[in-house]
Amino acid sequence: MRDDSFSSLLPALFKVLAPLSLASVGGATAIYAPLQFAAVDSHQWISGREFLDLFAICRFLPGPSSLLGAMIAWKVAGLAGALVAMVALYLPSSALAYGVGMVWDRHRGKPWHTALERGVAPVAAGLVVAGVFALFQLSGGDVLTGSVIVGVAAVLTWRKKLHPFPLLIAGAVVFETAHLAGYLA
Amino acid sequence: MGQADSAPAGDIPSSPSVASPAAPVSLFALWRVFFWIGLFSFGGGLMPWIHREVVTARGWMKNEQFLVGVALSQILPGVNSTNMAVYVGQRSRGLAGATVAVVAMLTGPFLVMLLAALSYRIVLGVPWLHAAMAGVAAAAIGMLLRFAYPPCRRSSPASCRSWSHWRHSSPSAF
Repeated sequence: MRDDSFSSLLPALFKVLAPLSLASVGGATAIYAPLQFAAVDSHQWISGREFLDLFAICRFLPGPSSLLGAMIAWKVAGLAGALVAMVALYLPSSALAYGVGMVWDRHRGKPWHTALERGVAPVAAGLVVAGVFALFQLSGGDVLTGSVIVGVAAVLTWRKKLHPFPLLIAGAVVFETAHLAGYLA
Repeated sequence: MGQADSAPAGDIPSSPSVASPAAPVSLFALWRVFFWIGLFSFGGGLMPWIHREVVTARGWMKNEQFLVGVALSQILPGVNSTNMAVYVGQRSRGLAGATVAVVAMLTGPFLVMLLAALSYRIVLGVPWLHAAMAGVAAAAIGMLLRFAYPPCRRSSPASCRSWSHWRHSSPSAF
């Protein structure tokens, strides 16, 4: 699979992944189904079992979940494939964000622009609140996760200037303790 | 995070730098901020951390501008955090800044992903790692919750202003 068709593999990867860059509105979960269809069913780059393995490992890696696309590309086309995948996955959406940012700036100072900028704060707040619930559900929605979420929020209320590192590490330690105590699978 | 009212005096110098977004932000500083945020981004919820580094600690942009970025990067297609990196980088250093910020944010995860891809059968067999990562993700969601719901402190009613990152009327914010 890697030898004779290698030259056509990189463009194929790009063609599969670039549309997914713009397909993921509000999170990467929307790209899993089309990614699985393309990689497993259509192009048969990897087996369904491999897809699930890579999916599982990606959930525990830092970075956006769409890195799964780059991991699959690494598996089928090595480092070149992974790099092509990164460009395909993040260049289109970044270019769009850049373009929108430019248009936004061009109208700076106009009354409607100022009004919109002020009015967007509650929208942003709502989107963040929605994000909290979505992430909580994605993380399994269990009591331990909920407790850590509330605990971290409480600590930040008390110690506003705390750096994120100790909080993230504390979260890891709590879960690790629960795991060792047998509360986590 | 985002408690503009309680920010130290040197936080955002009340200089024209607020009016002109062209305050000198070095590309290296952009790289450093977004590299670390990217490397420790488990399970989303990065906005509070970006807010802390970009608005509270460094004063690279105003709250208003930041919140527009939060809304835009969630509405636009693509990953919220990379969209936000583009937004912050663009406002700090134009095209070069946007490129540096988004590449920095993805470099750490990309390298970790390569390491994991090389050894994923081994990594999948390490259950304690799963627990640790789930814990990091939960803590990150907690930061997000605090970012969305900043309650008042009983000890000082003035700290009700801590919600100022969602408002624009707080005179001490900028």
